Amino acid sequence: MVTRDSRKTIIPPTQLRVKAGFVVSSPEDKDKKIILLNEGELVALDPKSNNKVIFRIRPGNLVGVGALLERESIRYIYQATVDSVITVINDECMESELKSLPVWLLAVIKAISTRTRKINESIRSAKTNNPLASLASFCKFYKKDEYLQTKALLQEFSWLTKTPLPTASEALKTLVRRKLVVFCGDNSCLTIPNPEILQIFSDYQKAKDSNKPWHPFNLTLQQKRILVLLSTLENGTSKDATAWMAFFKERNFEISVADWLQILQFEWFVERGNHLLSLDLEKINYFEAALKYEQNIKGTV
Amino acid sequence: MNIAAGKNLCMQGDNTHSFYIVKKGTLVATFKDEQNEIQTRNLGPGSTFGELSLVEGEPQEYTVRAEEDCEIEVIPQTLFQETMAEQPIWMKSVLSFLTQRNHIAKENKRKSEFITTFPSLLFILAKSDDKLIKLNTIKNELKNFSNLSSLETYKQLLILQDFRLIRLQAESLTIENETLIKLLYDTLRLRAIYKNSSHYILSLTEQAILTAFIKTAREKGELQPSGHIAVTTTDLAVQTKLSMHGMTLTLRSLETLLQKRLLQASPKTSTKINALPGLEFIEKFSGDFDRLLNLLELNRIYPQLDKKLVVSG
Repeated sequence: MVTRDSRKTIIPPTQLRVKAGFVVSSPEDKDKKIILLNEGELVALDPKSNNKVIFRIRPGNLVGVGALLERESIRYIYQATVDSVITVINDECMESELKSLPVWLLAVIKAISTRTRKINESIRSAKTNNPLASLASFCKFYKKDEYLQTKALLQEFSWLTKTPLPTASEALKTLVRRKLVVFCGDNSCLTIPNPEILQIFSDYQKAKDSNKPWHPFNLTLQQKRILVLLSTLENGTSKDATAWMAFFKERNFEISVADWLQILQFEWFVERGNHLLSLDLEKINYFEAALKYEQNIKGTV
Repeated sequence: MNIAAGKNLCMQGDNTHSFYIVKKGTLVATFKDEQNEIQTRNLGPGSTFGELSLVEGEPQEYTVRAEEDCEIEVIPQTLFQETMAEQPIWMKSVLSFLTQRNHIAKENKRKSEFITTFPSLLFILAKSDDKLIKLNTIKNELKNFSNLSSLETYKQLLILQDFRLIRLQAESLTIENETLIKLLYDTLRLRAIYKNSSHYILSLTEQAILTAFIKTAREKGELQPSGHIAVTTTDLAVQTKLSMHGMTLTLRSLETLLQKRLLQASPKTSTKINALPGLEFIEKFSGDFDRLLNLLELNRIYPQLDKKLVVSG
């Protein structure tokens, strides 16, 4: 059941007639207020740029909402260019009006304000949620064992992703602890022993973020043995599903249809038409590398 | 209203035009973004959603499903309109201002994301070992740097195609000028990190002389054992005058190009002395033809880049 609050004592807004040149609001004002322009014209002047005109306010428009509702600082001086009529809604007036509103309407106003504030914050904040995965993906673009300046690398990453430097630095230390990146000398430079592992690590991190099982670390013993067997074959070896299952059975792997369907999820094979499944050795190598460097990737070294 | 566990309250895209307040229970809101990726958010007691649907009539952003039996307060648009009609006129202006500000913030975010992601795209292309790259690969790599949508990424690729740095095909792209992509990326990096312009960015005089050098080299250049192309000082001076509205070639105008080692001067070996003041003892100038061409191209596209990003974004 939706209830509506009864109207309480309302402090009415003040209506003022102001002359051309009158400053209706400025960054120095202690009291925050909303100014609604009823007649005339106001200009917004930037005190930081020699009072340059930034924009003009026409009748029906208002200024100061952010200052009053969100306690944001006032950036501009608002001055009447011609004789004008304004309505001033100060703190007390707004408070009394807000108190008279139904709770749900207050919730609507709050939700819209919060939404805007979050968007504005996100413009300034890092562009990725997982700086570790992001830094690993960034580092993998550098060549194996190339000497890189630590500071320059962190600055470049921070610039590209807006990740704060201390966060980027922490992420780098995590990669170093996992031996995915190696510091040289006094830590002023670094090398990447195996860029491919950084990609694998980044994929693992992303799977963890999305709470999805990551296939390379969830293989059964039989699946691992099949992986080793497949790694001995030539890239592109093609058979249809029945022939692949027969191939495994010939090599003493008891493989059911359910097992086979699960293996297909690993993308070790690429469909080549005519029901042929062609072996993707790149993917096989990816799984093998993930298993070989499992401790580094999981951070248990 | 009450909603039983497992039931949907609303679907993404529904025109319910209502605002919801969760009174009791937990719901899960799922949102499919432009890249068809699903984002989720839990809504417990006190959570609200649907404010823009109520105020602006926008479609619902989320598909909301009850995790358990829930009690929800639903504010339909009719109630909102009736309530607003009772409020002073300025209250409507305040609400409209807030929604407008929300739209501006969204637009600013989109534009900012578009502009600030561009260097990441250049980075990926500059560091790629392959000249032919699948668009899907680019999209996936870019996700490690930003949340730019596929459409926006494609718009950025079109800018690069306009500059003839890449060529787009149906599902892939070909890198047309790898060196220039690297130069452009480095220029942006130096500008952003060190707040100074890269030495690749040339003054108008430098550009004018290098343009004359390229023209002279094409017509009368001599290939040097180092792979550089050399032109005589006299030919370069004539071409500079011809193509640059009577500009006289002087040692001073060449100084910065020599300092940047973009051009190298060869001293005179013959007794014949040219009549150019300050250049009497320099017989030839040489330079790396391809590098100079790339630098001139960089200086052509660099001033256009910011504008293109703003217009396309």
